[in-house]
Amino acid sequence: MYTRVIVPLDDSTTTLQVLPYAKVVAKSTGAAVVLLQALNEYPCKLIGSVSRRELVTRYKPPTRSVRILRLNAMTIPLRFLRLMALGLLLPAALTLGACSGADVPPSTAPDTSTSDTTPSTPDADDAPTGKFWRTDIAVGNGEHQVSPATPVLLADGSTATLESLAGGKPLLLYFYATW
Amino acid sequence: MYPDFEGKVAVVAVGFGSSQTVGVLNGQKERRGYPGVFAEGPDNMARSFGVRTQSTKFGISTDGVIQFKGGYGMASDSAWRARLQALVDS
Repeated sequence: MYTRVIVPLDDSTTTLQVLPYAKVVAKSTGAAVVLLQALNEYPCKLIGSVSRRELVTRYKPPTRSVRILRLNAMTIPLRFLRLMALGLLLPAALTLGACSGADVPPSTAPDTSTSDTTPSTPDADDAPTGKFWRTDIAVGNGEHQVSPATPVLLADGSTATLESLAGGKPLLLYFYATW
Repeated sequence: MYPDFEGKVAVVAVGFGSSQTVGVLNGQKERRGYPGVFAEGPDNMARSFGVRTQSTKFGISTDGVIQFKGGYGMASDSAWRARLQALVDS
């Protein structure tokens, strides 16, 4: 089983969100945790808003030990290779996995097989809140399934469904992050 | 990025991750002049779309059918144009 969990961090508080998940892994396996931060500057300079104390405070070490390494460009190769040899590198996927999760089985849309299954083409003048999306095939997240018409929160505080935002046009839906 | 598709394809960017609120996203949208709608989805949105990485994109036709789904660096510029054109033609 795992004996060491390496958690790569950048210099932002955003990446600290991964710490509770690293803690769960470490707690369940008894592994030691290494919080790894790589710096561009040389000579090594401790910079940014995330201090060692903050890391330790947020992490609240549950198991054997927590080491915090700050590496710069000159020290990364040797120490990183050593870390790779000693332990297990959990890449940013840990962060991403924590944010997403398992696939949800597609649900089935109401059966409208007795009705006309050909979707009507919306007029250009249709209001953007009209119904455009098919209801005669399964809703899901794979190709050839109908997208969930999930409601989303807009900048003005209102909500709208993806279907209404598409407004009868093709939609490019982009799962975006500023980091 | 593809002005020739402006007005032909609706673009909606939703935040991936709990820190990506609509306020955060719109701040960047305004600073960088991005087009399209930036929005915040419910907590389970990434899960319901089966999304595991940021920058995952869905091409959805006018009738709501998912035409393509892909993650970061899924296609070249020319391939993107072909996908967008196919989306418009769908």
